[in-house]
Amino acid sequence: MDMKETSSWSNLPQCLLELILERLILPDRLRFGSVCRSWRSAQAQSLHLPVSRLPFLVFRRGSSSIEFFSLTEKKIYKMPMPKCETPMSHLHCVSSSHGWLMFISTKKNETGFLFNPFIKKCVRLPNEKIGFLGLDCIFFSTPTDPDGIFHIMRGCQRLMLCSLKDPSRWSIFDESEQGNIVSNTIFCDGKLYALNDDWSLAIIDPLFPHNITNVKMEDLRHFPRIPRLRVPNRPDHEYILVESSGEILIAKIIRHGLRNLTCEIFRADLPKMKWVRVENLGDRMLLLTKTTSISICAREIGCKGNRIYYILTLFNSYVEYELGSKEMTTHSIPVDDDDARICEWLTTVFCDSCAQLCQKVFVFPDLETDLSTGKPKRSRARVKSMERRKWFSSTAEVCLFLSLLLASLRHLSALSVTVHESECVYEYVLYEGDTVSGNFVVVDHDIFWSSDHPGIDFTVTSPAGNLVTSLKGTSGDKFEFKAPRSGMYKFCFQNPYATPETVSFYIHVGHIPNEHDLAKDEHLDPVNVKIAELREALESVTAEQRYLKARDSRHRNTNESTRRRLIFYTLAEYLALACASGLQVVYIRRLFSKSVAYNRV
Amino acid sequence: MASTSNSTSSKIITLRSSDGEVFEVEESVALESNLIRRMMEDDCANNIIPLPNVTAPIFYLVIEHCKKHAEMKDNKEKKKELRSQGEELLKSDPHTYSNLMEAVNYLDIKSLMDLTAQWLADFLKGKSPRLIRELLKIKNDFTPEEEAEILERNRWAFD
Repeated sequence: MDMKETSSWSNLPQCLLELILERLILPDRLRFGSVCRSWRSAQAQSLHLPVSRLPFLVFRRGSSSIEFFSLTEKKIYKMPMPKCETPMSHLHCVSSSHGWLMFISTKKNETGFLFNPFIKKCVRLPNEKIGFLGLDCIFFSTPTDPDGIFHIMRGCQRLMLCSLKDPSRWSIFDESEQGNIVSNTIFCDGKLYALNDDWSLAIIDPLFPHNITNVKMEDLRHFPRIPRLRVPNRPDHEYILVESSGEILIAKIIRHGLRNLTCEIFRADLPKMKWVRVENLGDRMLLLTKTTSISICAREIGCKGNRIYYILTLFNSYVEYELGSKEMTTHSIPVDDDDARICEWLTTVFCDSCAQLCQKVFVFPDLETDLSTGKPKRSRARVKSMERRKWFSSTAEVCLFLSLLLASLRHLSALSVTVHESECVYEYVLYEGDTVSGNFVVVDHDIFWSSDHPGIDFTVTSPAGNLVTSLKGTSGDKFEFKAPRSGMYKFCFQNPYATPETVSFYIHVGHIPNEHDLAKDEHLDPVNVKIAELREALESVTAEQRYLKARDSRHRNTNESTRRRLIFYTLAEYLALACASGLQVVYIRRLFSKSVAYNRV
Repeated sequence: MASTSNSTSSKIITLRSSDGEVFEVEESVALESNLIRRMMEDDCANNIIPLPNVTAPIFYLVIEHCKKHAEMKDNKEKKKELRSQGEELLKSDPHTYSNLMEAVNYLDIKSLMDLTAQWLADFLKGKSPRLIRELLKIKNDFTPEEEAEILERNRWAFD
């Protein structure tokens, strides 16, 4: 009986176990995986399931460990600190990004390191002196990714982009002298945003760090317009930029005394250069400090939305501020120790999830093959990546690449790829239920002598490895499907014949935002959704045009080859005719001359 | 799923569990199961539908839950009742609960699959692996070395 009972639980099918795992937060998932073997394998296979970003408060006590206070479970987790020579009293945790904490050393000739407690990885910061206060870091990819790029913003003046080629060597991409950045930096839709001291919003393209666009925004310090009594830059006002579902928000935190505060949220309206007050954050909760700002979907982790969390470092407590009722609750962390110091917010992100971020900025097709032939591949930034994609390895290459990119932007159409046996393209789908549409046309490579090609096979594979769409032996077709889950989708072209074929293709991921996910005025929600729908409709028209254009070029190819064949045949015919006439003349003349001679005899 | 209910509510479907017991179920309830729906579409509705993977007591539980779930749609009280009942079962007889989950999965009743998974997930929240094993009567099939390694890898989550 006992044996039967054990087997009943461990024999549950994978899909059922996944249903349960989906509903568990990260620590619970890890515990789930250590119950028995079959549950362990289910947990190991379920890495593709979305992990909700759990908010943690990081604080330190003593020297050997850092501790995490889980906001959802109200529970403290302990993790060992990485081994390093610097004593803990000299290390300060200044910022966090995507599960990584940034520790800065106050000792001379030392900078500090990045540490991810969840995967227990530690990466040294470059030996460049960075400065101490007001640093924040943003990652575009995990720091352990050999080609990853991440960014450190110095609090007062300069911007640095660092790229890590191998763990021992860092290179600083740029230090810019423009502007005087006073706020934290955020990363939104492929760009970095930071606030200058003259209330202009600096927009930095991580690809061209020298090009900083400054958008002069309305000065919130004068908002609402009441006569100011104190100095303009009052120390009890604090402005923190936040990226929340693709929008740039700014949190204005007004301190009333040491323990009390109120908070206002504004949304950046860049075209109008204005800040628009946000009354309701919807499903979002914001975790704020001077250097870190995180926006999380509260529903996913079972918390209440429309709240702002802010750390009061002095009192070892955090403030929960409800935006709707403007009510403030102070929670102190249940530590009785005087040693404990809260440092930072942190969310759990497992290393894999950062792929999503990378894709947003640095995904380019491999240009290597085309560089060798000197023919730039038509490409669009931020769209597609080839299987053999290679991240740029030197700045010179980057420049060459960018100039090619710019040159090709003018006569921009779809991407094309030459298929010898099989070629795969990857596209990241950010949200579940997005519509992925696209088309491809075989533009025949060298049709002159070969007979008509039977066509190529096209397959789409989902992140879980299932076949989503497949088309066999076509010379071009359109496809469309709804993505069953978010993740990396694989689009493969297979060429069954030896002759290489060029395929021109276009893939588009359409996202119409859910009304609940937007954090802004209620009146704007339906308008925004409609705009997104219109955008998708327009996109489909463009895609159709691209498809027709590609077909057009294919027909042009066919026509040109027919013309060439025709000219060749005609020339051959002329030649044959001329030969035949010449032969005839010779033959007839010989006949006559012979006959004359014959008659004489 | 159950929106097709009352128009044909008079129709009764006969089902037979693996141990030979015969159940008569209203069509509206039976159609919650995608398996039975597919069988009906394939036109075996006139005969008795055999369910070889489900035993009678489990099937009885499933039908009961199905009925309650259909009632609970607009009733918060019923929802609570069903939930507490599920949790009670999970505590008192975890073996039957796992069988219920399997049966629901086999019959492909989406709403109940979600519910049972949710209850179990809520039950597992914050519990240590040892406690889970004890409560659900699961046998520990790891070797001590394996277990130590798993613990070591994510020690933070187990303290």
